[in-house]
Amino acid sequence: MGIFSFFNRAAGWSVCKVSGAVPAAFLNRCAAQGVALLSVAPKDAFTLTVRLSARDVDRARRIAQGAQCTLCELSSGGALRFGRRLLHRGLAVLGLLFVLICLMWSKLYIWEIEVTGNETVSTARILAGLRECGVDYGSFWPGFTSDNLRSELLTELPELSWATVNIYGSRAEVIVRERVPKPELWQPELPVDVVAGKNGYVTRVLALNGTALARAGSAVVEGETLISAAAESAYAGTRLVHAIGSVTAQTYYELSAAMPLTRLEKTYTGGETGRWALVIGKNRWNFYGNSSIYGDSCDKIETVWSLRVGGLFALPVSLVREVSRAYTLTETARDQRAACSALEQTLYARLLSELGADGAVERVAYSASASDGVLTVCLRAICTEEIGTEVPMSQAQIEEIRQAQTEKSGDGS
Amino acid sequence: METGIRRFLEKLAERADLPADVVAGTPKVTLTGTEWVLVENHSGILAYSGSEVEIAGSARVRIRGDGLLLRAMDREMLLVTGRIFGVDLD
Repeated sequence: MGIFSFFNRAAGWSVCKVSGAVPAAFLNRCAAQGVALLSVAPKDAFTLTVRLSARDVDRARRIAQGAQCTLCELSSGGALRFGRRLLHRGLAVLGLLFVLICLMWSKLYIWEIEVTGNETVSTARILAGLRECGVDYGSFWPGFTSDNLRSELLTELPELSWATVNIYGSRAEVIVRERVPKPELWQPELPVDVVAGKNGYVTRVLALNGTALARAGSAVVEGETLISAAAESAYAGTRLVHAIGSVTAQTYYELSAAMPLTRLEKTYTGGETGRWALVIGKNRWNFYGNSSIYGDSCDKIETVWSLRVGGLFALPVSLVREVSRAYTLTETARDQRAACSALEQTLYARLLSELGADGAVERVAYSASASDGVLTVCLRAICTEEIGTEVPMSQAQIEEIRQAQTEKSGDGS
Repeated sequence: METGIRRFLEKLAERADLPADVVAGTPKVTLTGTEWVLVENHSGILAYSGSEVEIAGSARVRIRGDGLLLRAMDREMLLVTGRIFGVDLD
């Protein structure tokens, strides 16, 4: 019956009450005269309700008179009937037309911009770039071409390697791909020293190119040259090379972190207020005054309902419901042992991040002290790690070495 | 007279091995499950209540049940739904 039901609903229907001595006679006459009846339900021996097509109501009324019955229309519905009823209300039709025109018109403007594919470049920066290209909320999109937008956006944001703007109705989808940073090239002819990145006690030196200045067992300070780019040669004097090597050292860390021994805890008082606002485009109309009932001591939860159809169509109209829940702050003592443990974990994580992937923690010790309501935890660790970092020689250093080489060769001749 | 012709047509259909509901217009009752009865070639309703529907034709069909509803009715067929206890033929 589904499909028939659909057509009946579309064409219009009426539910009628038939009363008479023999209501069955009415049914038989209707059937004989081709009036289709649906959902005939008996109410009592002399009354029944029947659902019939809207166009058959007048015929059914005449048939009912012939069968010594009375027909009374109880309710009616259906798309055609609704449309006919609407035609009698000119203002409603005008309103409907106005809404339809507004919907069609608003589809030509962008009311929602969605950015995807960005990892390091922020969405706000991409939106600002789009704004420079003329794409903003409320922009007239039929004037845009995807190629022009792409080239303008890539000029605005050199961090992007590719971008596209797809427009679905009033929603713009911006897909971007970020530029992969250029890898650092190995320059064998560039004079580079290996210097200490941290203070430490050198345990192993492995110089593959250049002159090793640090020795195992010696202490070095940050910035000290460990493997020099000036390589001495018995035949060619001093050559400037790209120093390569590894210097492992024992390093010492002392890190500390503090936490108050009390904390402020929220207790909701039960007071709650709600207020409404309407956002059209970039304008917001608040249906409330400027005063805030609970001041700052309240949580504000904002729920936004936007006028949109799936991901295809959006209107620049949003209804905002702002609920404020009042609370009071009470000072409660923190569990000292738990706080100490949390700080230790934080410090150890910090140590690992400073150490890098090639480092190893050899020994670690913690000490804690509490004063003036503040708990301070200190971490002391001995680690082993690679401390050598490559630093290109400055032009002055290069000149100095070359000059010394010239003077030496002059003395030799 | 009309009954005589119908009987003759029924006999003819029987001899010629033709469907009687097509040749003689005898009622055809289709019972689907326990909640759906379709009666074709009916001649109208004689009585109708929530517990019993009596249908006229060359054979009288009485549908017994509970909460019976005449879901659809036109010149050729009628459809009764509800909890059907039995269909009697006179």
